[in-house]
Amino acid sequence: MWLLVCASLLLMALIFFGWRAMASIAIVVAMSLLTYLLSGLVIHMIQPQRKSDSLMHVATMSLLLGLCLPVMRQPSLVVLAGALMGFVMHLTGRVHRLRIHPVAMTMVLVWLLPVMLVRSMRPGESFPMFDTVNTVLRPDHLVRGDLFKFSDEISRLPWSAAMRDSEWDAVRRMEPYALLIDGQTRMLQPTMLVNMLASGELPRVEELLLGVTPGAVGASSRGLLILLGLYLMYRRVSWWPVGLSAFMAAFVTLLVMPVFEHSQQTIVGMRLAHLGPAVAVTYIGYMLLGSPLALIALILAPTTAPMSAWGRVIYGILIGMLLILAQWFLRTPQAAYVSLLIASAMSRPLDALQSSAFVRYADRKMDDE
Amino acid sequence: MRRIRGGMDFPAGRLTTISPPPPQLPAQPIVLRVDERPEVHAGQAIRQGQLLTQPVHMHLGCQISPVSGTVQRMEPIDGTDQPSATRRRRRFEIQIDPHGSSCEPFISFSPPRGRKLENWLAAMRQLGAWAGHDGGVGLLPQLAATVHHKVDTVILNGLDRFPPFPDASSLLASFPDEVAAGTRVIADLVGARQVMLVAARAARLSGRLRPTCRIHSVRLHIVNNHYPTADPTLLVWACTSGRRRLQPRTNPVSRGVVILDPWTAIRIGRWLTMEALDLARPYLLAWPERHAAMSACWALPGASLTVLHKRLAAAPPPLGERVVFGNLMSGQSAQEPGETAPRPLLAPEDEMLITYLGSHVPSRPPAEPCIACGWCAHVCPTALRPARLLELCASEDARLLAPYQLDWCVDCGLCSHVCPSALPLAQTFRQTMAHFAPTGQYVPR
Repeated sequence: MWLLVCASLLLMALIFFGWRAMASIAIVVAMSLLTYLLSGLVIHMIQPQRKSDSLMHVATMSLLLGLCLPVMRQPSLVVLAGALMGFVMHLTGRVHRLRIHPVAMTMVLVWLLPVMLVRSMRPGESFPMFDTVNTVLRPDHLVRGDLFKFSDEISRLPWSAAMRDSEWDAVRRMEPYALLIDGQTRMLQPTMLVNMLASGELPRVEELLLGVTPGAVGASSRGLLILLGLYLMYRRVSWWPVGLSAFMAAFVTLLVMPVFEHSQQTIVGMRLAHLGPAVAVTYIGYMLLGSPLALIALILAPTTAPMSAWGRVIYGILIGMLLILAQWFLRTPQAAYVSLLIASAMSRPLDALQSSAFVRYADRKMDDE
Repeated sequence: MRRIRGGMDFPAGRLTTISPPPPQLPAQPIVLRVDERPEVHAGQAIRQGQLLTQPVHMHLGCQISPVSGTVQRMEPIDGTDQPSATRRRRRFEIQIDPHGSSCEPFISFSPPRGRKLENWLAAMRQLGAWAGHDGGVGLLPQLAATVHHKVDTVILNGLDRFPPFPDASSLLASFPDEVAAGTRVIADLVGARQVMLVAARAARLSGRLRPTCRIHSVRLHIVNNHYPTADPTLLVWACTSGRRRLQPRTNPVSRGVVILDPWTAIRIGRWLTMEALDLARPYLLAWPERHAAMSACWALPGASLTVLHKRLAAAPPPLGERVVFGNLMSGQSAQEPGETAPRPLLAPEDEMLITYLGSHVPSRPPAEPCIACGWCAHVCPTALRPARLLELCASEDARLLAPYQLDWCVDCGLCSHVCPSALPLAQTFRQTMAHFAPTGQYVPR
């Protein structure tokens, strides 16, 4: 079942990002397994009785990590992420009592924290290690194309129209999530969202659903993520309250996010009320669909979800709420994984929300006596 | 009726028609295990219905001989006749060889006149052991308790313990008049205002039960048999809309309810009709490889298991490991692996559903670490946290178990059934409860 999920996402990555995406994912998986085995040997010498996770689970988690990463100019981040994942799997995940999501922890440690550090120490500068290749293969170069053969010009045409220029294998486009984070308040100005859509600066919804936009190689297709999420619900690995509460919480949190306008503070909901229903629906739709909420809530979250029914609802609410807060205030795409990290850290306490009416009755009876 | 939380829906099996017991049964050596020192000795000739034991306590039934014969052997089970500090009571085994080649499966004894509880209780005690599954404690303990506690509800538990093998439904369909009559008798004895018969939704069962329930003023509830609603704790909860909570393995009379099993009610109903009490019991043999088609047969308690069906007689040894008494999810194997002393006998306290696992006894896959999927918590009918309880059982700290109330586990076996890591959840809980209770270190709240 997880193989089916990962295979589907891998296929999508292969089709739209080619062999470079496959290579990146393979490096992550190989480094993860290698460091997991080596560190496992060391741990076994110190604590022979310690339980270890299955290699299949480590491979699955590292595969998911690889699918969450975009294609980078330099492979150093990919190698580092894979190596750290191998260590992290010993500390977190489903077997350990902490039950923190390993993919979220790795993303935060390897990417988010360094980016925030660099940004605070050297504002305005970028670190080459974190440079992503914001390209996607052209329609006539799918699967076999080289993602690094692209022209520097950022295309604003629809992806399907990129077939006209066949000199390059890939076409450079704006990463939707980074664009949305950058323009999350700018889009609330009158006619700005419409202009962005008309000029092609903002990708079309069908392109987001299909996945022909740069970003995480395996998580670019929101449509596929939703389908796979429903499949996991059907197989009872995931639960609909988590996804539903995550999206509802993200929606509500987005509406109450602060916006400064002409030195006055208001909230997004009030601004959208002024802009009209069409713009409001479009804005909210892009903010939710363009974010990694579908990936996190539907695909990644089930692994470390609480076991209690109410706990799952709260878990979903935490994911949705924290994702919007992180992207609004931290203003970097990797901040989304903070939501999963914090929510999964709460999983074990949320297990205790499963309360037996029979046990409560016995406790009440004891207290009365 | 309220639907229980959690649980699981199993496909219902086909009902089996159970014919009335034959007038004569082939005579077989009878081996009975009793908890009191018998009043007979080896070599003594005894008649059918003769008292073997007579307990002091009112809630315990006497043991009588089901056949006329000679006591071949009477000895303590563990080899010594002396009481021991570690044993709470002595158990004895009696073997009776019957006279003749056949025996009657009933004893001629008129039921008491009127509906006075004391008279009926005394008569029932004198006529041998009653199966101890009514309400989880047995009929006699419940009736004895009603002397001091008022009850307002009598429930006939016609739900199948394991829906693919509909033992209770088959009994209801085969003896609808007797079951309603017997239920009404018990209700009159205890003075219950509410009398209900809970049955599973099965083909033509409602049509057979409804007229007779109307005649005897028994309220019929036809429900979907959502496993494990048949458990007394959950049945009381469901029938009282969640207002009453009965702790597992405790007397339902403490909650003002008497619970009957179908065979107990049928036995009483037939007693009224025939003026004779059945000594033989119906047994339903389930064959999982035959897609839940059951075989019905009659046998006296204490007979060998092999008399029930020729397949059992021809089965390769050890037979005990291939047979499960009761619910397949949580039933007891007649012989645990590794035990050298098999017990392929039909004891009076055994359930009438017997599952033969066939020539290949399925083995459990090796357990893997818990993946926190939450399926066990989802299916638990009493909303416990099986994964957490397993961790506490491993720590062997009973004080940690008290807040989690392991004594509310109804032993349905669903947690083990759904666990993808093949963790022995139900088995561990059963061992923990058995481990702590006799020594008194773990006191249920």
